[in-house]
Amino acid sequence: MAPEANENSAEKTALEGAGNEKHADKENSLGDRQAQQLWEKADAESSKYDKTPSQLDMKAVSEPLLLFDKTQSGSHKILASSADSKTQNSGNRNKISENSSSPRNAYEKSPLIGEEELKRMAGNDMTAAGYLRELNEAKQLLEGKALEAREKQIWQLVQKTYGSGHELRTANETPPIKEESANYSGQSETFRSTDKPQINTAEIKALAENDETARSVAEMLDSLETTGLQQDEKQRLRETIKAGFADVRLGHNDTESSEPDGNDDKQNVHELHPEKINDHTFALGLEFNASPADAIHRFGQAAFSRAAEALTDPAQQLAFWQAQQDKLLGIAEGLNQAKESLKEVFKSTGHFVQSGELCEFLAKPNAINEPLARAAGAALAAMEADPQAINKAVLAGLQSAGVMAMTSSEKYSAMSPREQGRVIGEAMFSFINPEGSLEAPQLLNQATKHSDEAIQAALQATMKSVAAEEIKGNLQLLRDLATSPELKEFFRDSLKVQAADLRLMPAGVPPAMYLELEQQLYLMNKAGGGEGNWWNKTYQKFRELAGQAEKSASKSADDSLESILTLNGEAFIARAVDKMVQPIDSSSPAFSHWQKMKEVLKTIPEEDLRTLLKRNWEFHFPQRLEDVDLKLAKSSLNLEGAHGKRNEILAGITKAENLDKGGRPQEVGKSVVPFERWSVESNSFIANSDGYDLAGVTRHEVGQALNSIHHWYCRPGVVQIYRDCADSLRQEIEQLQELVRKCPDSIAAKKTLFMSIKERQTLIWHLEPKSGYGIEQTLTDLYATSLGGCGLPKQAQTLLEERFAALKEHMNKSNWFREMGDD
Amino acid sequence: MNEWTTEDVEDALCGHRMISAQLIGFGDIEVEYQHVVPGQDVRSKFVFKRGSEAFDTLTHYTGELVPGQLLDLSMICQAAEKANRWKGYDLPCLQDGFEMGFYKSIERLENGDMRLYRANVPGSYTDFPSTSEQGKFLLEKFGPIEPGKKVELIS
Repeated sequence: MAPEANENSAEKTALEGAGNEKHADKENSLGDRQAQQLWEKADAESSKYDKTPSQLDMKAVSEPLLLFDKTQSGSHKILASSADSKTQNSGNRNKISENSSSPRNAYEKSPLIGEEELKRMAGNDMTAAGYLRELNEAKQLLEGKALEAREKQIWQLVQKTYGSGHELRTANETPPIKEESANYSGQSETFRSTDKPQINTAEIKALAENDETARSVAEMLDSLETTGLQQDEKQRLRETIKAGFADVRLGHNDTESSEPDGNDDKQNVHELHPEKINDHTFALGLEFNASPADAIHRFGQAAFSRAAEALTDPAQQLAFWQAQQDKLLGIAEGLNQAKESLKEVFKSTGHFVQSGELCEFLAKPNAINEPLARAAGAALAAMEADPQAINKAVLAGLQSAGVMAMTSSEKYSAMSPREQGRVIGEAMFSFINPEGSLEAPQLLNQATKHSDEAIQAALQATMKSVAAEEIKGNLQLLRDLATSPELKEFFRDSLKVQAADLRLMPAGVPPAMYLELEQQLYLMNKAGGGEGNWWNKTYQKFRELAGQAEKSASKSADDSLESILTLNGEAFIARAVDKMVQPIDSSSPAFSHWQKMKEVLKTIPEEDLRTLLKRNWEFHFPQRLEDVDLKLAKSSLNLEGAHGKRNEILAGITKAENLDKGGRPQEVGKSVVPFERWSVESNSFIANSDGYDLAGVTRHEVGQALNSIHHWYCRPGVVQIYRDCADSLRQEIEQLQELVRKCPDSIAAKKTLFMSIKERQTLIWHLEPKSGYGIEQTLTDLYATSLGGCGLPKQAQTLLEERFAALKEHMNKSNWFREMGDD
Repeated sequence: MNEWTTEDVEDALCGHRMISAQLIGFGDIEVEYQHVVPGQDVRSKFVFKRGSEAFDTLTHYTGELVPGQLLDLSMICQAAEKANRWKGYDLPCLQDGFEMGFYKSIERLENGDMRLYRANVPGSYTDFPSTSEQGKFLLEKFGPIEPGKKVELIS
């Protein structure tokens, strides 16, 4: 745990995969039908959410999103969507503002329901209350035509919810788009899902001048032309994109299409039948033949091609390549995370999975995606509104989910390529593994049970689900997904790679089964780092082509560092941690440990991470210390007098940065918390977590790193107070010994003496007088404890805080845990 | 493995890391040593050869060991720690202490050493040998103080 400031020439072992790659099978691919489904879904989502982050109304997440009712058969009918209404509203504002008539008046004429009736209903009906609240909010926030448009939207929903399900239009309302008007046949028109609104390319381009959504769709259509797809496939996608755009522009939404009223849009429903794989697992009958590895291979290939073709500046090429490589690794991680989440769902809901309800939901795969997940969110939101039915913990959780969703948009744009890749990976998972959507039906059912336990379970699932859905709904992510060559490649049948490096690529990938995902990830990540494999060789070739060496690499790294330092808050923390934590192979037994410790680092105050990032500090969470620094691992404990014990017995170690005489860094500092440490007792490696809270150890090492930069012990009075505290315990023991000597019969004195000696033993490394080790340990442990724990047993931490309370107070008083020392 | 030096032995004693000592064959001393590994009780046994620097240093504190008898070093460690406690206070540290009002009084002992009393812990003090750098610093700072005299620093 001690810094080793004088290790000048420690050899750093590169984290390269040692195993040989198993080449993946490229024979399998997505079938046409599945590819089309997924394309349609992606494209529909893309146009639906095609707004800037600021336009996205993330607030909707914490409010009722969908209102649903339970039918007699036990299935859930989605009646209305306030989230969709907001989306619709956003898309329709321009259109409706062209009309001078008051749509509200039209609805007030309706025999179905008016404002007074709605107010009356609001007393007993949360849904009505929700509409009323939205009306009031609209009145407060909007004015003029915008208000009219909003009111119209709300009243449409009111009529649909409480009326006959039909929407009314005034006679003088003229839809601005020709094709739309063709779908209305009179003064009163029912929106039916079969009445698919249409719009042509020219109109989209015309709208694109003033409308970002339209612009994005136009761009998508343009980009479609440059793809290598077959003409008929292009045409199909073109129509899908346009239809999706028209859906949004003309008020068509998913909710309607999922209404079981006999008018479902059959074109968009892909009925699939659940298949029981085992007692706990159902598949939807989709036979996805493309493996994740296939997708990743093509991702890499596409990235390579783009980099080589599009970028002429070698430095740019290198930076781009690095970003793509990071993104690739992120995708692999995201896929893995999604898989792990799914596993957890299976574990936690085994009893539920066996119930018939699940089968019902699985039989409606079209409804499994966004609507159900959002319906679950709506259920929870509705419960939130009912204080009798829900406790504070759930409320707090829901609020967190809301916050999470609201920040997701900013988060994605601020994410590092690796983090973005991770999100894409998770999204990909839902495409390639429909069972992943089990989460939606299970949480929906649990949410409706209204028991505390079920609510908690649903809440947890919703937290994940809401975040995922909202991230999916994020404009930038959707653009990335729907327009990226990676996704297109992902859905494309052909696995032929035309690159010159074809022969270097894996020869084959086994059929995709998500249970084999780990193996696939192993291959993918191995491709990212191992020697002798196609990725590495491709990378080397790229570098040759770019004509660049380490200089360019370091330059691009510097640029990247600067860009991260311009960020703030969570965005900064995420990217800073990503930058500082050194990667490991996902096949490593330490991978989970690595992921956990990364999360711990994200809880470190931003100011401290900023300090470390500026110094290019490295954090390693390897399997063993020797994986990072063999010399450091095999050398004796750096403390003088340690004599004969290697550093690999330590739970964590920090090696201070090595500066030359001019104060310039020769070697960056690094902190290592391995997954395994050497046990003297068993003469073997054991789990490092055996006896340590590794999160605390990580915080301790952060403290060590900061101390080596800030030189906390150099601040006035720090050593003095530390010695006061330490000597206080020593002198207490001396006085007690004297007392026992004088009063040998005093049991109390003996007991107190025994306890004090025990305390000294517990704090032995904090009292170590040599080379400042004791004060260093004490300061860093006080720092770590203030953040949640330093890795030592709770009793030791409590004792530390008691015995060195004055020191902690002294440090905090002047903010010296943060401020730089004079030297 | 590095040879133990006088400094190593004193550090180990002051840090209460020497657990026990025992004379073994040829008059060498076997010491049970506890490593400074936070959270772990990692121990080793080392043999100090008779005539080595480490052997002489240890026996300076323990005296001659009785053959076959296991000597508990806890009291030896405590005495060594107490005798060397002043070494932890370097001059900047002392200066900080004065500037921040940490000391209540200073006393010149009969043997000439300087005893510095802390302000925050009644009766708590540290002795500095008059020949040490710290002792000289204190004498220089406060001028000549008669042996047995005490100067109050905080009224």
